[in-house]
Amino acid sequence: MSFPISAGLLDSMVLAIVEREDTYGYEITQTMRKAVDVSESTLYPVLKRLQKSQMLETYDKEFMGRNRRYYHVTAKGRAQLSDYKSEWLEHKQKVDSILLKETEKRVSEENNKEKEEVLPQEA
Amino acid sequence: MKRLEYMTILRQKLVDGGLSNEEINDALEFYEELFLDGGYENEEKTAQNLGDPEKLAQQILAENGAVGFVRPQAKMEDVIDPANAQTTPPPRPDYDIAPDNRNLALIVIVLITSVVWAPVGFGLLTGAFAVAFGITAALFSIGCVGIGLVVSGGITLFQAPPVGLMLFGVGLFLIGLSVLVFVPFCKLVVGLFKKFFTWLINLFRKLFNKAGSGKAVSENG
Repeated sequence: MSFPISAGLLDSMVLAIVEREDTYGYEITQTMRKAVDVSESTLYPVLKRLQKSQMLETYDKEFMGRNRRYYHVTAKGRAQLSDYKSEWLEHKQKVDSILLKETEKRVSEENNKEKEEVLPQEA
Repeated sequence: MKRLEYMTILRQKLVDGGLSNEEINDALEFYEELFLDGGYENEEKTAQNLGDPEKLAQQILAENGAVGFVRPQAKMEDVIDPANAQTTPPPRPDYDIAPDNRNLALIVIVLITSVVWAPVGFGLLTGAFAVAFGITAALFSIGCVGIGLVVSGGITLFQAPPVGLMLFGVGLFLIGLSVLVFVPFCKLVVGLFKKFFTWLINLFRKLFNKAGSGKAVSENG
């Protein structure tokens, strides 16, 4: 992948997944892998880190005769997540303003052309 | 690689790396869960996604600041100094059970086939006894004949001196011959039987000791 995923981005994505619903390791890794190319071995330290910094807490729930570790976002984690979200939005807009400018221009040009084509007929 | 194999290697490498038990269990529980939630039929795929277990262990160790601390498998001194190697014997490998079982099987086979070999063995043994006894008896009788000839030769010496002298001489010759051969022959036979029985006793002792306990094996070997 051309764009490496930073630690902050991993943290915020994992927090976002768990915030939606308390969930367990396998589901978190599967959801993450749908979006970005990360291995399970990358996510284990992320989860550990979030636990250590008290953004996530865990509890065990029985599932088919074994324990499944569920993750839950703490109040601190929620606050951190909203910070991450606004930070990401800002970051994304800045990047887009440069990276996607041409595309936006072309899109608006095409729209303008269509309008011009339509306008003369009306006139 | 299946889950069990993968987790075994991972655990071993983490233990070797000197990671605390708490951290090891935490990591193992996490990866075990991934395997279990991934499904039994996908274990190979899960292992593939996780990558080489040794590399994963190194990564976990590095994250916990325990990198570089790897317990040596065998100290150099142990290899070089035979005295050291003896004082700290390596843990008994699992396959030590196999020779014991083999010996037990051997005994069973020996016992079952004893129907065939026992009569043959006893026959040969009694045969050897009979031969030894026969030769001994022959030598004894030769000696007896010698004595008889000496006696009769002594009597005949007065009636027909040349014949008596000859009988006397032959008698002495036979006595000498039997005594000369009898003593070393007896020693030989007794020695042979002694050897045979000690060999037989040792054989049985070995066989039963080995099957009896593993400790006996290490003591013998």
